[in-house]
Amino acid sequence: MNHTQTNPPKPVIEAIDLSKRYGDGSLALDALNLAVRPGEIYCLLGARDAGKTSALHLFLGLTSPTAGRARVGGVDVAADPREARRRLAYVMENVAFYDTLTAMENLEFFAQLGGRWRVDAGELAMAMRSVGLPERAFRLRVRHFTDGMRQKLGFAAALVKEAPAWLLDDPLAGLDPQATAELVDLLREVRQSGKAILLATQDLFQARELADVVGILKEGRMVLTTTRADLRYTDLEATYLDYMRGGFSSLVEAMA
Amino acid sequence: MKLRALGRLDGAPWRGVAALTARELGELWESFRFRAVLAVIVLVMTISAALNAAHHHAEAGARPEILERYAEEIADATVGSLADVPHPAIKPPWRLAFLAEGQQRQTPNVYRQALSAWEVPVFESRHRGDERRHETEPLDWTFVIRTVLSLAAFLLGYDAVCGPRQRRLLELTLAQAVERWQVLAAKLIAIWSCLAVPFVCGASLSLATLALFGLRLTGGELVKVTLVGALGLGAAVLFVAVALVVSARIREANRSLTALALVWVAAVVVIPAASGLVTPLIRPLPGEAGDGGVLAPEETSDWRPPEWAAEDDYALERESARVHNRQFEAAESERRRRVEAQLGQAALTRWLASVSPMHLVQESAERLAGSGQARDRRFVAEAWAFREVLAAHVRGLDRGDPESPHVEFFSRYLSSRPAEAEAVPRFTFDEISWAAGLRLAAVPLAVLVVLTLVATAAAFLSFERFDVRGAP
Repeated sequence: MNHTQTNPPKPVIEAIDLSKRYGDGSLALDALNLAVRPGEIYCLLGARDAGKTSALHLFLGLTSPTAGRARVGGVDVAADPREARRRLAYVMENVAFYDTLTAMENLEFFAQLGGRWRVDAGELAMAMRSVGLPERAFRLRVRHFTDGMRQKLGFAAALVKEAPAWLLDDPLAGLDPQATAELVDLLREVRQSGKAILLATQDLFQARELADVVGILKEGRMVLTTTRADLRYTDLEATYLDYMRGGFSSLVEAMA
Repeated sequence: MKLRALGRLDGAPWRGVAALTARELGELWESFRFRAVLAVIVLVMTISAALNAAHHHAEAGARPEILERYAEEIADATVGSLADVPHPAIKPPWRLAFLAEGQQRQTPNVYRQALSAWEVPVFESRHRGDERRHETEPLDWTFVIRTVLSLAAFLLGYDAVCGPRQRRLLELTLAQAVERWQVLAAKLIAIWSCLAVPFVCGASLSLATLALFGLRLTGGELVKVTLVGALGLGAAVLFVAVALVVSARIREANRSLTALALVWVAAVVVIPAASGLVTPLIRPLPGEAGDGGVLAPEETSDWRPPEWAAEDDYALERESARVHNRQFEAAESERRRRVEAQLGQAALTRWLASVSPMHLVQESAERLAGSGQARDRRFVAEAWAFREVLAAHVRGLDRGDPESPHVEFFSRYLSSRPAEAEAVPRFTFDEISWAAGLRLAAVPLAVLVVLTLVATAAAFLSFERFDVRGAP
């Protein structure tokens, strides 16, 4: 008997009734439940301030939950945030690096902070090649990088970290089509390698193109979860807009 | 189990702090801010050493003039005339003015007193230079610590937390396998190092400059220099911690800089100035209430020639001397009370100013160096005590003359034998030792340590609670 067929792999990224209310009283996240398994891209779709970044920050331990639990690779983030972060790679919109360092130096520094104290230059160069950075950029100070090159370097840093889980906060926003296409291809390869990816985005097309599971967040609440298979029969754009406007027609459609 | 332990060792906290510190240092060392701080501190400390050494030599040159004039005055003196000679007590030029000048150039440094009841003792300021010239802030190590180091700490640290937050670099850093305390510790160490390196360089150049100018320090003086240097490095921790608290509490770099600039102006300029204005209101000087007429008894013209006075064993003169001496003592007591009141007022001003940590540092440094009000107070006490030494000497000489009427201290009725000039006691000032300075500084130092611990704890607490959200 094939064991994996009966028991799906354990989730790498998992939220159980995860809630966050900030000091000013605003509810950023309300009882979020999600699970991202190895080789899966889970797309958190929502408008600005829907709670996507708050959810990612809770997984990173950058903020503590009001209720519920976040787990990464089986590690409870609240109990051991450092160990949880060791298992997470994080790429955000407009990735920032040290401008005075070269791309290579930045990668080495963040690899060390990520827990990899010995990384050879060949591995760093390989990561930069994988994301499509030109060779001349390897030893160039990051202050001379374009936005697209910075984002690519962010993905290279995630590759070097060799973390089993990736958290992506709208990392392709504002990039030119070519860079976007290259990074989308990269994400597919990363999924192929068995990483669990939680992608927060506002981009419906990216979600349709990449996601294995799509969760729509509205004002901190997960209002819909749908799979890649379901998406074939659903107009994601119409469904999303319906939820954003507060309608229920798409819910009925989706249920049907 | 073993593997888990090795994993922990591999990611030992010190390793993360070291990597982060190296990075922070790299950022700061490449910045214009650090280079400017380095240049200013090293230049100010070196120039201060050169100026203070030159000034010391000039002041030291004035001392022999006073002593030579005094030697001439007592060269042919009789025992009796010694009572009329104003004997100078000189506070020597302050050798450690480069370290903590402590207003030694503004406070009186000569005290002239005669034993006669008709001579009014006076404290004088006999310093080189034009008295009308506006005295500026003395350039010394305490100036550098109080003013330059604090400003430099604020300039280097104002954006330490909020800067990377705005650039979203903090979010990426904290998303790695590091603890928040490691990140803040690295920032604290890096900024402190960027203050410590210029300060130590400046101190070394300062000492080298002093040696070049021929001012060789004794062992005790070197201990004082070390103590004040250590105080400067400790104070830098406090200043950096304050900058980090503000940078973590105020989430935007330009607002953080503005807040720190206001803190600096208040602590360095406003609080000391306000304390100077408030003190006379709290503790006015007795003389300011319109009290006068306690200078000295007027010299009487009712003295009889000695041969007449001898007929009744100087009964009239003894009675007159008793009255005049009593008047003198009352007047002297009033004068001393005024001086004590002035010293008390100055001390109160200092304590009020010590609300500012920068001035608490100044106070601690002056006490450690044996300068400031402690030296001034000691000079006054020793100068007053010197009167007893002089009186004992003249009395001893007078008692040795059987022909003297022994009417103290009226020159006509004391011994007319010549006094041996070399035997007349000279005033020597006993400087405050480093151990005594350390004892004097114990309280302000303890307060500084507490403040530093509180500020550091506040910085870590603020950073632990720091919300990385809200980047543009």
